[in-house]
Amino acid sequence: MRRVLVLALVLVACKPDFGVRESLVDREEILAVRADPPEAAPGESVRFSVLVATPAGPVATPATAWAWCATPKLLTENGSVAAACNGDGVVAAGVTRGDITAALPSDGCFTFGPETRSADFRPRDPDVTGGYYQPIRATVGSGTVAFGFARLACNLANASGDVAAAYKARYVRNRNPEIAPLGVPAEVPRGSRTLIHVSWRPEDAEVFVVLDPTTQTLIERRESLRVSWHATGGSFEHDRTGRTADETESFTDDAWTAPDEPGVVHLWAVLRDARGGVAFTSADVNVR
Amino acid sequence: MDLRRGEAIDAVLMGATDDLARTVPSPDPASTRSETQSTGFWRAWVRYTKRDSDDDTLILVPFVGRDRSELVQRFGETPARLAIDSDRYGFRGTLRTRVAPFLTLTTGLDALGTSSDVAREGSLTLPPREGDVSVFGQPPGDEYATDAWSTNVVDVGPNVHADVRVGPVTVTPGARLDAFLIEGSRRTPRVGQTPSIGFSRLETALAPRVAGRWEVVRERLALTAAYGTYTQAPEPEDLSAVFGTPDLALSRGTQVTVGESLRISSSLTAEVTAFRKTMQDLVVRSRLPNPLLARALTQNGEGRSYGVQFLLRQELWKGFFGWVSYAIARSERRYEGDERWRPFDFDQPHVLAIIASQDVGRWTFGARFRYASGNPRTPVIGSTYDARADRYDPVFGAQSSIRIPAFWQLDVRVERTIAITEAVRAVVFADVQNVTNRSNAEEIVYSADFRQKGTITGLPILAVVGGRIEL
Repeated sequence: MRRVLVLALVLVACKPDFGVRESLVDREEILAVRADPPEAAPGESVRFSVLVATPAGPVATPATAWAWCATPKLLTENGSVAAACNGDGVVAAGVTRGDITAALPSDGCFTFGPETRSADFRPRDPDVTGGYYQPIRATVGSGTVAFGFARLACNLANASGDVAAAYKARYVRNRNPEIAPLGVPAEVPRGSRTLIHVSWRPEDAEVFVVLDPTTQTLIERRESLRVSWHATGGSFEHDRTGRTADETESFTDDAWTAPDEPGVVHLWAVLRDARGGVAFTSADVNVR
Repeated sequence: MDLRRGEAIDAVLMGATDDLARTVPSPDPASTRSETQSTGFWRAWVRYTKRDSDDDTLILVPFVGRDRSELVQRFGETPARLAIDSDRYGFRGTLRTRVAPFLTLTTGLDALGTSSDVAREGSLTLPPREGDVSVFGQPPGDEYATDAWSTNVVDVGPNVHADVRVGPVTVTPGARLDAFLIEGSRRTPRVGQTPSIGFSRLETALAPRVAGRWEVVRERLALTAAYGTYTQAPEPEDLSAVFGTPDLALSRGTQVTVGESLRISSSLTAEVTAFRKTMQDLVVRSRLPNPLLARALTQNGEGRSYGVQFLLRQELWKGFFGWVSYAIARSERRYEGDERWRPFDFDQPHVLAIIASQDVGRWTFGARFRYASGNPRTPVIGSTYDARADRYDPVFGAQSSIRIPAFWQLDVRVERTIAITEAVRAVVFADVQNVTNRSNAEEIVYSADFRQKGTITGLPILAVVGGRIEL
């Protein structure tokens, strides 16, 4: 018989700290791509706008090359779009200074949605809100790339006829939320800590119906909302904050610590709902 | 427990459970991560053994058991769950008979049944499969699907092999005939309240096998060779009409080995074994952008492994023992028809281990050195911003074209035995692991925007002091 007694054991493993805050704008970045309306059927017009930030501040009318992603992603891909959409798997939509208004590709529900040319094919899976999305590629400045998405109003797949009809009658397309101006003072001392408040309308947390694939019935869900914080200086306590579907508050706060150097700092808050709706606001703070 | 002369019966009951729950909270609803893992199993078997005066041996082993596993993960608002409850039952019987002085015949019957209830929800890419291209920590796709199904897989495999001894040569030819009954509750995904249509089919596989050994120099030098084919039934979790393919058939493999065993001295031996293994009909994800219904997985995978293993072993001699083992091998995979093979996700071309231990009086000094190639990884050559999820997605280079840096580590150990009484001894030991304090890379990680790359490193130098009482 053996009895083993271990007297001392210390375990330490190391993960690198890259020292990079996602909220710090230290180069040209696309902070948001907004579709208006955020949900539309193939063939309907949608206006896309892009929010571009640089360390010098916002870019008012950025030169933007727009292209529809035309290649669905494979079952093996984790990302939001097919790798081919980073290359030539796109169809040019135009080059603009600022917004673009264009009709969603007519085959969107086949390429990215649940519709198939034959019942022999597997319908695509929706996200957890029941949504399918048409990606659009935005390329600005020196090649900064982002993909925006318009939620596609497609027919319900994998449901019986009566459930599909009920869904069509009850489902309300998503609307973009509205964000209030940032609650931030015009001037703050160097190194000071400021609580920044941002709010939206209570109705922006929309209730929508979604097919529960387990019970094959329609259930109601409420949108969660999240805010991404960005600044050209200083640091936020959290890069993102928000409210879950269970939280009824229509605001969120984040603490921002001003930089130690005086100057103007540009702040942005991007509000996103769970179905792809977007709103953003910004403010300048003079650090003295 | 002995029954009669030459007869014995053993009964064993064993089981274990393991539960783990962890949560990474976040003020961001999309960044909250949680994971709950629960596994458990039990087995009960009875082993009956009968040996008669001719040294013929009969062994009968019936068994039953149950496996349970559930993994629940949440990536923000996207849940992922895989729960499998399996009842396992089976029987193994072998009869070994000496037919003639030069011939021993072994016949047997293996039967294994697995009846599973499986429930899964979440993204198709979670859990990941071998061959998926991703980086450590990358969240799964946000597509959401769900399915619940049951399967019953029964494998009955009568087998026979003979040991034929002719002088210094022993040849063992044999064969196994497997009959797989594969049943499932759903052939197609559930739509509305439509009743499920199940499936049931029988797959058979004849597996010839042969092994040989030639003692070139009696008890000094021997040459060995073996050939065999093997089959494997699909896993229950792959037979989903939503996440997998109910029509999956058997995966097949063929293995060939050639070896040499040399006894250099009474306590020093050397062995060399070369092997090659080929695999066909491996289950992989469909590469079609629009796969057919209930065909998310295909059997278009093939694989090959080949290499040589060396072993030099010193048995206890003047207080010293140790061994050196080294394997140089490649393991590769590809889709049928592809020109290029890629490294298997766990391919390690070089694995070296050196173990040595020396007794000096009541002291024992030991050392261990290990070296292993890093596993393959797919490089990230850029990134794109997903403005809906507010996160960056990696842009990948050629699949499995880089590796985690190689691992090597030296550990030492000192042990002291103290006699307390004639029957009681105390043993005190000190282990120092990673003596050189090398920062071994365990995984490649990236910054959130994939512009910076680093590694998660393993344990630094670590001292463990312990003791035990031996009665």
